[in-house]
Amino acid sequence: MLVGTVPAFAITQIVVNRYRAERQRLALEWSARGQRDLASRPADAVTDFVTAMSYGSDRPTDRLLLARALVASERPAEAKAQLLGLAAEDMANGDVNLELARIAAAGGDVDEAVRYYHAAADGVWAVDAPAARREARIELARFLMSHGQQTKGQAELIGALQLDARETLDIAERVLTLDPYVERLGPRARGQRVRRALAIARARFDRCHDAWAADETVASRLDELRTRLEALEKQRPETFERSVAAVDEGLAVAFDIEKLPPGACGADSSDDRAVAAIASQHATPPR
Amino acid sequence: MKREEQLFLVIAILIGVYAGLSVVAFRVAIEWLRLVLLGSSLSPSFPRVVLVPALTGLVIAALTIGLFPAVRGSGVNQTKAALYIYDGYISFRTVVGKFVTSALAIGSGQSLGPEDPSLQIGAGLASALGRRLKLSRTHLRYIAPVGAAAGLAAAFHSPITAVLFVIEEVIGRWSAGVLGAVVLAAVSSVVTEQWFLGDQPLFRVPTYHLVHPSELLAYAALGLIGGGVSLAFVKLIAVLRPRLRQLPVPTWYIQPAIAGLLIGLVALRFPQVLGAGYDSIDQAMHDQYGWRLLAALCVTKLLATTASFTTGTPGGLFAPTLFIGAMLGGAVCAVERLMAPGVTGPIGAYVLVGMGTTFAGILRAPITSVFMIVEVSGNYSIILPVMISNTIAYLVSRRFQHVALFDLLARQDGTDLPSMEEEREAEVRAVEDAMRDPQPFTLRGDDSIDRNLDRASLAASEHFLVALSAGAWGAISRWELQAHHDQGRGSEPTSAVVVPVAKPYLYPDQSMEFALRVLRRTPVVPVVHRAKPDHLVGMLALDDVMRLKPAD
Repeated sequence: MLVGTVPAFAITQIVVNRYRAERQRLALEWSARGQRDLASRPADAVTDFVTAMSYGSDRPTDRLLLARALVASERPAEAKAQLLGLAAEDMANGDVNLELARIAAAGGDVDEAVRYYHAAADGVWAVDAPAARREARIELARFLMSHGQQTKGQAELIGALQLDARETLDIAERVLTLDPYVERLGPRARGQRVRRALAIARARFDRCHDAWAADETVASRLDELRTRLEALEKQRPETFERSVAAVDEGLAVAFDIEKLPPGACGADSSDDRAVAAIASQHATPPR
Repeated sequence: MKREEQLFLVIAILIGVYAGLSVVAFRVAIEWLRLVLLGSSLSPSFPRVVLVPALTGLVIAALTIGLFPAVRGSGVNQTKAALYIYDGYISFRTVVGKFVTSALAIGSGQSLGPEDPSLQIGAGLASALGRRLKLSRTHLRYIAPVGAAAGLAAAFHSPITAVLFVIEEVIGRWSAGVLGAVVLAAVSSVVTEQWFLGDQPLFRVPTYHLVHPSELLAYAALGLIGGGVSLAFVKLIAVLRPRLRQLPVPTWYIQPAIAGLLIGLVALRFPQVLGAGYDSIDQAMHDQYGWRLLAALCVTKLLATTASFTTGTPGGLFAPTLFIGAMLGGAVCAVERLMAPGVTGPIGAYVLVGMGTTFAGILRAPITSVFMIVEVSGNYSIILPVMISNTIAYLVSRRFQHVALFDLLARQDGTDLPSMEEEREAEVRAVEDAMRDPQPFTLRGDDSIDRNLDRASLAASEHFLVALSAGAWGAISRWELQAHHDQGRGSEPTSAVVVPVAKPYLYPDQSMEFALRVLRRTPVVPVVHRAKPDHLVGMLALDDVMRLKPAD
C-alpha cells in the first residue's frame, strides 16, 4: 500500500502539471482578450479579466486592468473595491493610487482624491517613474484648480515640473512677466502679454507641426490651430488692447498649443512651461 | 497503546494521503469536464449553457440508476450509514461512481459542490483500505469517518473544519483514539492536496474590522434572514425530494436532465449559478456585485440547488450552502450601506459571515460553522459577528424545522441513522433528578439492630443508609435487619453487621449512566455534597432510577 503511493504521486503530478499549464494558457488568453476589448468594449473586457482571474491569474496587472475596465463600464464602486484590494497588498503602487484618485475625483470626494493623488505622485511606478509622477501631480493640480484651490494647485504644479530650485524660480519669474491674469494690469500691458504668449506658442507649434504632420488624426487639429494662430498673428497689436474677444481667442490658442502632449514636440522651453503653468491655473480667459 | 491502535493511526495518515490524491484528481476532473463541456468562458454561449447540463443530466441519471445506485445525494448520510449500519463498509464501486457522476454533474454546471462527494470518496477509500488490511470490526467501523474527514479537509483546504464536522455530524462524540486518527488523516490529506495545488485559499479574504458596535445589529439581522432562507431551502428539499422520488421510475432518468435544463435557462441571465460557484463567492467578497444581483443570485442559487439535489443528481450541498449565504451576506451589507453608510464594515466580512450563517441554518452544524469561517478567513476577530449570526440562524432553523437536513434525508430514504443534533439536544438526566431525601432512610450505626428495624418498618423503602464514623456510610436492607434480629443479634449495634459502601460516593450533578455503574456494586448509594463530602444530600437506589420519568 505504501509502495502504491509513489506511482500515485507521479501520475497525479503529471495530470496536475498539464492542468496547471492549461489554466495558465487560458489565463493569458483571456487577459489578452481583455486588453483588446478594454478600449472599445469595456463591459466585455470586465468579463474577460474576471475569467482570466478565475484561471488563477492573480497578476496585479490583470486586476488593475479589470479596475480600469470597470471604470470604463461605469461601475466605479466595483472598480474601487478591486483597487482597494490591490492597494491593501501594495500600498505604494502608483497606478493603483492614481486610479483610486480618479474614482474619488469623479465621485466628488476632494479629500480622498487629493490623498490618493499624493500617494500616486509619491508612489512606486513600474515604467518611467519620473514622468508618471509628474503626470499624477499635474492631474492633481488640474483637479485642485477645477475645485477652486488655486494656491494648492499652483504648488502642486511647481512640484510637478520637477525642476530644481533655480529653474523653478526662473519659471516663476516668467509666469510673473507673462501672466495676463494679474488684476492690476492695464489693457496695453495685458495685450502685450497675450502677444508674447502667442509668440511662445508659435515656436512650440512649429516644432509640434513638423513632428506630427504625418499623423492624420493630429494633423487636422494642428491645421485648425494654425488657422486660428495665423488669424491672430494678422491682427494689429492694438486689437489685443481693445478687444476682449481677441484676448480670449489669443490666450485660448496659446493655451491649446501649450497643452499639446509633450514628447513629439521636443523639449519645452522655460517660456513654454510658464505659459503651460498659467494655462493650468485658468480654465477661462481673463475678463 | 495496543499494536492495532498504533497501526490505526499510521493507516489514518495513509488514508489522508490517498484521500488528498483523490481529491486533487477529483478537482482536476471537474475543471477539465467544465472546460470540455461548457468552454472556458464564465458565461457560456447560448446553446451550450442550455443543452450541456440537460444532456449530461441524462448520462448522469443512466449511470446513477444503472451502475452506481449508491451515489445519489451528498454522501454524508452514506458515510454515517457505513459507520452505524454497515460496519464501515463502502464499496469501491461507490467510490468510482461518486467520482465520475459528481464530476460530470458539477462540471456540466449542475448547482452542486465537490465537498460532500470528496467526503464520501475519502470514506470509501478508507473503507477499502481497512478491508484490505483486515482491521478489526471496531476499527473498520471508524475508518469511514476518518476517510471522510480526510476527503472533506482536502476539498475544503480546512483540516479543523473537516475534523469538527465529522465529529459533530458523523461520529457524534469525542473519543481520543478516533480523534487522533481523524486529525492525522485530515492534516495529511491537506498536506497532500497542497503539495499539488498549492496553499492558495478557496477565497481571497479581505481584512475585517468591526466599524461600530451597532454593526452587530446588522449581523443579527443577517442571522435572522439567513435562518429564514435556510428554512426555505430545507423545506423545499423536504417537500420536493420525496415527491419526485415517488414519480414512476422512468421519470428518474429525465429528472436530472430537467434540472439541468432549468439551471441552463437560469444561467443565461445568471451564469454564476453554474457549478460550485467559488469564483462568484470570491467576486462577491470583493464587492464586484450590486445588491440586486447579490439578492438575485441568492434566490436563483437556492432554486437551482434544490432542482439539482432533489432530482437525485450526485453532488454536495456545502458549496451551494456557502454560495447562498455569501450572496445573502453581501446583499445585507449592500442594503445596510445604503441605509447607514457610516457604520457599515467591508462587504467581505458580511459575505463570510453569511456563509457561516447558512451553513449553521441549513446543515445545522453550529460549532463547525463558526470555526469554518475563522479558519477560512484566518481572522479571529470575525468570530463575534459569526457567533451572533450563526446562532440566530441556527435557532430560527431549529424552531421551525425540527429535523435537521441530513436526518431528514436519511428518514426519507428509510434509513434510521442516529441524529447527532437530537443526541446533542437530548436532556441528560443527572443523579439529582432521581435521588430522594435521605432523612427517613438513614439509620445510625451506633443504634441496635432492633431499634433500627423498628425505624425501618416505618419507612417506605427496602434499602437504608447507615451512618458510620466520619462521613462513612454503609448500606443495609430491611430484610437483612430482620434476618439479624431473627438470629438473636437484635441488641448488637448495627455497625457490626452493616456492609460499608465503597467510596467514591455519588454527587448530585453526575450522570445517570455513571450512577448506574456505581449501583452495580451496592443497592443504595449516598449522594454527598462536592465541597463537603461529609454532608449527605440524598440517596439513590435502583428503584429511584426506575421511577425516573424519561426526558421530554
